[in-house]
Amino acid sequence: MAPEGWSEQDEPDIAARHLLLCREVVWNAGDAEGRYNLVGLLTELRPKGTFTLVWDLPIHAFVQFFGNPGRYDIWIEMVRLIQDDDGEVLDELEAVVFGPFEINLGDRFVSGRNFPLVAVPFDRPGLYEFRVRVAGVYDVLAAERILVEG
Amino acid sequence: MKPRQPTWPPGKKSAPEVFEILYPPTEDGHLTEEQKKWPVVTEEWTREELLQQQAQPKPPNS
Repeated sequence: MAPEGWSEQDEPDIAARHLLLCREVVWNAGDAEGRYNLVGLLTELRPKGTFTLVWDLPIHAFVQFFGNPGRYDIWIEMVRLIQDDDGEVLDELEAVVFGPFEINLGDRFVSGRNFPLVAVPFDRPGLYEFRVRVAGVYDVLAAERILVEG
Repeated sequence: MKPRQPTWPPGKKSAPEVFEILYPPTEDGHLTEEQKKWPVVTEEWTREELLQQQAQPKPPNS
């Protein structure tokens, strides 16, 4: 069910085919076929501290967008997933919203965008999901999960 | 119109791409006032260190 002011009928003019979390994205100026390197793909975090805490090492959210040229407001959302003993996701809690990030999508075939996320709050260990959202559209464009251990 | 998943154009080995780094308006604008008081962590445990840490007995609550 879409929240008030949002429409499930709206279809975004922009789409994302990847969301990957990593430590760094390096631009390959001299490589026309492979323009960027993703360094340290993140699947788990182990903060050296007690929860609650703010994670202040870089988490880069790398996304490849495509779609109709235009200006879009993008948000990255993070939620903590509640699981049962079998790992089944039952619910989600405490959305943290990073943004807005304004992107200008040109007529390129694919456009890579890197969103450095700093000061990420974790209230407890668990499974977290990062999501790419575009303004005015309820559906998530792309999502990726990460396990925070502690 | 909903965009379709791109496919490689015929006759081309690769597609033009653009890359950009985007920053939000403020670095901590997403934190609540309470979260801004939480300890800031800049170091990670290795998996082995974390297992050792978890195996240590916890001090009783005072």
